[in-house]
Amino acid sequence: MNLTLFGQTLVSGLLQGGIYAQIAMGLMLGLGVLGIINFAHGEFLMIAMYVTLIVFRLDINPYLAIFISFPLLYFLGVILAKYLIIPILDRETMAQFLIMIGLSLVLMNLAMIIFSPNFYTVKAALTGKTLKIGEIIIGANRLLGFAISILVTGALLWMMQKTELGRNIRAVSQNRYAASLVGVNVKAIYQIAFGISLATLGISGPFLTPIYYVSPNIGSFFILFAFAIVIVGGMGNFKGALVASFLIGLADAFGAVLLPGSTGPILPFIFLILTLLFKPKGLFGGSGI
Amino acid sequence: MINKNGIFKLIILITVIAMLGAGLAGCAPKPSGGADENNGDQGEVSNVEPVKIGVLAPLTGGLASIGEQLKNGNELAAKMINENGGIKSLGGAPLELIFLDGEGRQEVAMGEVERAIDQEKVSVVTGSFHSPSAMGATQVAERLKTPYLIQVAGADDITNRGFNYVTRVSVNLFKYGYDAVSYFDWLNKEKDAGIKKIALIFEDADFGQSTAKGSKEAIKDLGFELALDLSYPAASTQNMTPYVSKIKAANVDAVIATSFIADALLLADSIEELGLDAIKLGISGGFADPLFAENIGSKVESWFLADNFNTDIPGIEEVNNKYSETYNSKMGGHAAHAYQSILIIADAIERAASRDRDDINNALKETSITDSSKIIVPYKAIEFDEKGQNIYAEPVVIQYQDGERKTVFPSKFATSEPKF
Amino acid sequence: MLKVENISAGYGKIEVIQDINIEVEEGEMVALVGANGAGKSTLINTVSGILKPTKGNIVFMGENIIGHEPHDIVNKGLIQIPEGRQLFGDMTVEENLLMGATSPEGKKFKDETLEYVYNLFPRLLERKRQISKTLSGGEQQMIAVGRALMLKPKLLICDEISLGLAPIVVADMFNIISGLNKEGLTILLIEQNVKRSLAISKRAYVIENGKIVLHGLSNDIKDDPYIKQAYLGL
Repeated sequence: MNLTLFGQTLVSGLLQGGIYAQIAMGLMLGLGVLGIINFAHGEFLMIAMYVTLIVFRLDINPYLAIFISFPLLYFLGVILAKYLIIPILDRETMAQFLIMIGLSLVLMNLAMIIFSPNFYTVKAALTGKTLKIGEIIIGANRLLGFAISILVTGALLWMMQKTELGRNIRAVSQNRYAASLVGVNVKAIYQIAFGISLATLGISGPFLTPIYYVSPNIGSFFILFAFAIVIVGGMGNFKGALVASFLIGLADAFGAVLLPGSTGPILPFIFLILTLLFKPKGLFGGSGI
Repeated sequence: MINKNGIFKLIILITVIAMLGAGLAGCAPKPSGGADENNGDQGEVSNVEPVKIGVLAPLTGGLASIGEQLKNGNELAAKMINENGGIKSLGGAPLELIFLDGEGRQEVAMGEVERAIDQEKVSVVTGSFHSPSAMGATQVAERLKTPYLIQVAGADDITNRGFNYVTRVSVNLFKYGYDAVSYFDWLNKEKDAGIKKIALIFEDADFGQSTAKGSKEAIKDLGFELALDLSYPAASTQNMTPYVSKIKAANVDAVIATSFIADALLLADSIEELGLDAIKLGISGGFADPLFAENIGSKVESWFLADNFNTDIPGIEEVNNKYSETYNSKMGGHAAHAYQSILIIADAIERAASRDRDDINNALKETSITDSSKIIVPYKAIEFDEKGQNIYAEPVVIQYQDGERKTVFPSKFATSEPKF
Repeated sequence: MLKVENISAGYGKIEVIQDINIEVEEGEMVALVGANGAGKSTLINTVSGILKPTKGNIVFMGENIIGHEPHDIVNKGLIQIPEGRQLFGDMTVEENLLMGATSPEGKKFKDETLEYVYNLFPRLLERKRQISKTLSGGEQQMIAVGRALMLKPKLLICDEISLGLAPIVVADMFNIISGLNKEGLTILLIEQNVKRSLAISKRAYVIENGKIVLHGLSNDIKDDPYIKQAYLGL
């Protein structure tokens, strides 16, 4: 492995990890606060990506789709929390599972009916532009996607730690009974938290669409890595998830380059297994958010 | 209150299972199509007892759009034959197609074929696109001693199991892979392309593995150097950049890729991004999908695409127009192979002058169609080897030039020169 | 200030408390004593709005609060220190206290109440950056009391605040509560520790099997022969 290949792989893994991070963060927020596994998380990303596609097809700069997808996903989250998720919070885990998986399938099939199962790509101003550092080439779209991801992740961390809303969200996540006893409107927090969880995807969507493509099952590609990151980083541990995102992204990239044949993608998986064996609560320990 | 710890364990379990399963299958649910199963318009009714042909195709399920094209091609051919007087050696017996919906699922396909042979008493079965279905269906046909003509399913093993009742019109995967390299050899000899080092990148399921096997053999036979042999699981690969970096670092002259559509798009983007300077050839699958060209835009012109059909092939205008008129869409490779298959079967029945399965099978195996007016697929003739594979089935290499899908190889069908 | 009238409540079809009547006047310290399982927590959760009663009224500051959401009731000034402290375990001491300052009333007086709480419990000031679940049981109870005070209670309900604490800490805790009452805070004390509760409260209710069996001045109840035998081990 020469230096250029090493550098290229490193950069590629880090960029990919950054992109995974924002998707994992939103997933963890919903999971940590409502205690529900949102199997449809990837499908909400899909919605944001289709919004971007529509905006692009209207001959508008696709990045501007954020002004639609961000509020749209937020309100979608609030409404879904209110009418679908809060009512099932006290149901058995298996029932919640089925409902959330069902939601995921419904959204996927709706997309298939509305947009056909075809693949669409979106060209943005930066499409095809690259940045060269020495011999290492970085796609401008990826770099932007990465930057946005880090920004979203940072903003989310800041909000959770430094604002009253964040403290209330953490309070509900740690002890919803106590939260209601100190005057926190628990149901409102559920709605807001789920809204934010989806809104992060509303931000990601317009920046990820030019890197990937849109199809009804695009969400399922991301969701697997997002779950792996939540496990490796530790349940409810945002900073852990950020580090885990990079580790998984790097494992994926180096696996592809170093391991023979198609065994490359096994590296993040080995990483996951090792984490479970030696650090079952995640590399950085779980917490209640 | 929900037990978060319990949920966490469940997530772990699900993720582990999902990661294990990711390599095996994509996660897209299949939409249920609404293709009806009635046998459509097959031309004039004759009072001679028809010859029944079972046609297997995925008419519902995720492959339904392809199933529809197959159905159209079969139907159109039967209609033309019936309009021209049916099977003359059987007193003008018309062909009656019995459509069998395999839903793109092996067990359904097997059940349908068994039903057609046992109950519908078909004389011959043809069709299928989905390779696993074709594998299963031919097994049923072999057991029930009924001839089965494969239209487009590519898996090598379909004709590699020593079956007596199986024949195939279209190119098999091994051949796709082999001929991709032959094309490079031709480029070297005729166009001075100077290709020495070749990288293979392919999805790691049967599709990619089979074409790669063909390419590797050709690389050995034709004296090229196999510089890289990369495969990846299509269902769980989101980042193609590392693979492309590796190809770039290996300094190869040419790349042969075998991918489905999603990974083909990601691969092409990464190649563009990293500015990989090599001759690129994509084999069938995702690369032959019109969506590939639609999505990657003008970059597509830097790719060579290996396919089993192209609309610029000389001598197919008449069928092409008829098809467009009838179905209001362009005839593609699937429909063309379906059409061709019915012509082959009609020719065999004509020669056999019998409805008996064994008689038809023997005639089918002795097929020798060399009259190019009877061939609408890009093969110079149709004859089957001892395994049942069409000896002349070869892929065509296509290149988009100024937005047109031009055939550049083999020379017999070429309408343009390759640009690289 | 608080009037509980003919309240019956329970979980599912099982009625745990029946026809409970309790009254707490402004400035009073009233004790509600009873054994484990007598229905004390059910009553408190009903008053806090977490449980919906099957019948009866709860009037707080002249307003019927039946059907109000828990956070709504908290905002009116009816504050509970829950049994088992119920802290936000992964938050720091100060974050836990500030969680009390999320109510409108709490927000208004945030800084001065925080100072007041740190004065009351200097230990908390020393450890304000520590994660609360790493503190001792007594310190955690201080946080629970402090957090409730941050909400600027008009009526403070203390649910088993002596439970699981060392005897010396228990004494401290009762002194603090007693002191708060002397400063004018109305307190409803829910306790299994009958002896101490009766000692510091003015009036008391005795609950058994979901029913109030006795009520009156704490001094009188202390001398009641039945109470002496059943609760005080005399």
